[in-house]
Amino acid sequence: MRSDAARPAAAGRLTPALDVLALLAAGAPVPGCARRPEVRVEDAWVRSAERTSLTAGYFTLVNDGRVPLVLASVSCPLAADTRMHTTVRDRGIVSMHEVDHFDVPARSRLRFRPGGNHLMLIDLRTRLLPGASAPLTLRLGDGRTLEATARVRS
Amino acid sequence: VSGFGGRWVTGLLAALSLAAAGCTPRPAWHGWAMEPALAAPDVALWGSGPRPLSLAHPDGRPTLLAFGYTSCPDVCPTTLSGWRRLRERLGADGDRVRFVFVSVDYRNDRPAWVGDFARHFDPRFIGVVADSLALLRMLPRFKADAGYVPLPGGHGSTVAHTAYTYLIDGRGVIRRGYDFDADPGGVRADVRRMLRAGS
Repeated sequence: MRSDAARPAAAGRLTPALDVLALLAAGAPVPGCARRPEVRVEDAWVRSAERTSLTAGYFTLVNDGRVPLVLASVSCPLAADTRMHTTVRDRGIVSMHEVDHFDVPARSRLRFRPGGNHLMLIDLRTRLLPGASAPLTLRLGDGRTLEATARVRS
Repeated sequence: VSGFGGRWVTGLLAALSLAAAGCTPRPAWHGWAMEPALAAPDVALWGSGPRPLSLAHPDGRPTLLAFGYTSCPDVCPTTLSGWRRLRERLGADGDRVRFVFVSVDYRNDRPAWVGDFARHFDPRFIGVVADSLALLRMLPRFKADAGYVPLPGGHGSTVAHTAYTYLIDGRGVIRRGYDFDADPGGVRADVRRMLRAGS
């Protein structure tokens, strides 16, 4: 599965046939075509890291199915270690805590976004410059994996 | 002609009554007021420069300030990238505001790193470290808190800190606070209002 955040800037150079694929990836309704997968990753992005070896990643895991899911882990080959964290806010004081797994009930969305759940990409193996992309692999509790491409932005 | 004049008088009376009732469109401040508004303390905050920064010796510009640390991947970059957008939107007025990121992680953050970290978001942002004594004096004035929190199982510690952005006026008085993910338009409006009022 490919995230719809993958390389949108290239859309202008695509051939007409690929334009249809781009529309599908963007979630546009195309008559007669298959619907989007029930379980998918949307809006994946990673904050650029030009001088630091640590950064955060965000995405939305959509579960449109009738079966609850568990997000067991996420990995990124550009980081030595990838962990799932959540930012806890208590009267204005924030702190981060590691989360072992996330439950994703049927017909729900699990959101990773600034100030909340986030991926910690630790010991980056490369500088992450805006415009680049970072592959993410999400592993579910039942052993399935989802691939996504996160856009790097500042 | 008399009808036109009558409508004009009615309109004027309506405007006057609105003014009397306090209904003139005067923009509200955003975030919250720091009550009582205290002066930022005279502590030396070291960054990349050869001299420390002291908030008690303001240069006449309003200052936006936040606490954080450099190995904070989520909240602190969100604050600083919000400041970058704010500074862009302020245009020429951006130079009339000082942006100061204060690391509370004095065990790990070196002053030069914090300076680099802040400049990564905008070359004019100032990054400094507050040591434990500086924090003891600073945090109460900002009604803020920060410290090392042990992780369960003895696996080191994490840094907890107040994540507000503070607006300090040109005389060094801490006036307002905002959530780190507050509407940037509100902070911008307050900064402009402070600039118009001559800080």
